[in-house]
Amino acid sequence: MKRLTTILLIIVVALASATGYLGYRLATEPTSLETLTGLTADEVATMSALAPVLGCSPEDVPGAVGGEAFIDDLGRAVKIPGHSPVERIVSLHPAATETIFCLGADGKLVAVSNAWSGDAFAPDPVESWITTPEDIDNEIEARVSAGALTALNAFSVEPEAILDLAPDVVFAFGYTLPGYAEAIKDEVPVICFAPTTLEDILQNLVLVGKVVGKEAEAESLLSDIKSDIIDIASMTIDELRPKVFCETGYNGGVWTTGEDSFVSSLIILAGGRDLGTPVPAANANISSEYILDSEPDLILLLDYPWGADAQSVAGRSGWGTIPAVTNGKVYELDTESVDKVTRPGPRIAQGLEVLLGIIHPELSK
Amino acid sequence: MKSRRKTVFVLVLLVGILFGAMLLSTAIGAVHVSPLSILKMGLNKLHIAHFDPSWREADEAIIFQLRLPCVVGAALVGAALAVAGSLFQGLLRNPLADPYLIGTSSGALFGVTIAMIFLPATLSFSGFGIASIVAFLGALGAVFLVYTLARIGGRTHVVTLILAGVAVNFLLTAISWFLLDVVGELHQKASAVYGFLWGQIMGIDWNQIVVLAPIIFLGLILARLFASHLNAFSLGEEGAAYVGVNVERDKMLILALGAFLTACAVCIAGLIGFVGLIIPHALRLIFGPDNRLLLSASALAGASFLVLAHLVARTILAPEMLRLGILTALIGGPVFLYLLIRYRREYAF
Repeated sequence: MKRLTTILLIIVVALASATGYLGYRLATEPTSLETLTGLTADEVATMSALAPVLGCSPEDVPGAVGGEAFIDDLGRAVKIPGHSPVERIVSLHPAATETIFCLGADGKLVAVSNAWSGDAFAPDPVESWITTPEDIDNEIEARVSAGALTALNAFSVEPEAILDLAPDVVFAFGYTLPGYAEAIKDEVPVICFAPTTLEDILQNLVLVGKVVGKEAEAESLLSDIKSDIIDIASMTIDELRPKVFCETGYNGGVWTTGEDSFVSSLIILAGGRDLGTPVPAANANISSEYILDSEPDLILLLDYPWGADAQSVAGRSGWGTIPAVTNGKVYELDTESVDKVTRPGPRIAQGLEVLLGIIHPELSK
Repeated sequence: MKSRRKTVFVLVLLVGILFGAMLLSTAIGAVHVSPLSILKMGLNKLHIAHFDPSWREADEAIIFQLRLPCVVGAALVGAALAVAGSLFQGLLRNPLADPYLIGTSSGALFGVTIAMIFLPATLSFSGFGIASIVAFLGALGAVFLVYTLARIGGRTHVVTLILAGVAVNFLLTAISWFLLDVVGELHQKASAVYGFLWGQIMGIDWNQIVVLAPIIFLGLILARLFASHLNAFSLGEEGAAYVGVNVERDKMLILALGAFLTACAVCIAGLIGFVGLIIPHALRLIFGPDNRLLLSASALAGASFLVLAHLVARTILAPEMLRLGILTALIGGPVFLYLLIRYRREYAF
């Protein structure tokens, strides 16, 4: 019977290894689209990253104030009653706050999240998650100190504090509905944002525009962003592509942006080949062996504001052989650049420009 | 004589399994490098032969800088945890005793929390990040605290020790999560915190191995020297005293040794559950309660088990990595249940 145990163990290990190897091989097989059309894998990658951008139109976003329901990123149908656009907005999703400012509806804001602002609220800007552009940040700070706007901490806000502000709509953020939103969702319409793809980001712009009554402005913002993205993508589609490893964290695993992430799409559109693509998730804990094996030409440190730097990357066991490290192509992105690249809001095309400046500096303006 | 031959046979078999597991684990990974190349690289490194490299520099780095240190690290961690578990189970005569019972886990979590929130992340000493070092100190500190709390009038009662351990665990865990939640901006550090809580063996370099391997080996040998005293403890503390064991002194030394081995493991791998709890139990079911065999067998079997679990965690979703703690329980759970049902015998310490 001891033998049976051993055999069982061996079977488990063998099966596991076989699955892993198969998965790895399948992930590197060329896609069928590529074999059908005769396009290169890179062109196919660009086109599939670009397709949702080209295809995104305001008509795709259902819902109207006082009419049919809006559908948020969690797939919830949210009805906003009333006949005129909302007047009092609580936005605990910073990207939505930025969009509201861009659309000129910021006069309707009664509360914003303080967790993401720069030096206005947090003692150390690097410590806060992400910074907001300075002009918006200053404006928010001025209004908060004048008492015209309330700053709430999205991670510890009391539901009562939100209801106390008598908002017409609440913009929340979370891949599941946050606790405060769960508590107030019967009293006030809550729209929850959980963007992962470029398409999500663009549709969210339109959604915010519709809710705050700035539909025309949102449409023109959308078409500006679309044309910026398309311009850059058409410049890079035929360029030689460096292999890019984009690191989002080195604690508790090496973290990168996977296939479903808009950052991965941005890297492809900026003319890079994203090494995170084989992983079908937005956020992937990836094997260091795979990174060394793929020999990335560029490493982007999106975790630079949180302590990773080129020197520490070169010092990691084995990483000294990576071409990006030996050629000095490890890029530390400062807080502002990280912000542009990773905030799913109206500055996403600027994020693409940041990446273009790193991946193809010769094409960058 | 027969039992001696059995011991030798079992240990040789376990050494063989460990050796095989480590070879297999070095040969297989997220990236395919042909075993022949690996063999040639190894012979080159050992200056036994000289083959012209038919492989990339990256391949060599993958095997010798990434994979091998992690395999060796997994073996050391597995051995340390299983032996610490055996020591605690034998001493406390409690089937739920594991290396984390008397404060190490929460002490280490507390240390990591303090390091992440208040200390600069870039500090490091001889290859160990500041978080690892503070985790090590936190684990030892917590056990010392528990031991001091449970020591009444020159004696340490086992039940008091366990209860004090559980209470300190809850307390330190609560303080850690309070700090992470309120001061520490958990949402930014979640992956690091979960990596620690579920265990991870990655990014180990040879400097760490060079420091830890001798320390852990020393700990394992010392543990083995306590085996017959540990056997005496199975008679109960009074019984142990009757056969000439200095109960209080040995208790303190065995606890310190177990805590020290656990702290070494925690500092490179975080909290890997299951190994320290189940490996000693499984071996006790198979070989009986003699600690002289049990401690050596635990070291070897714990090492093999963790090496294999780590292999599966690295390869099953390659190039993605799974958390190690998930794998140890997922593989170990069914195997242990099988043993439990197969050897339906009265459980003895």
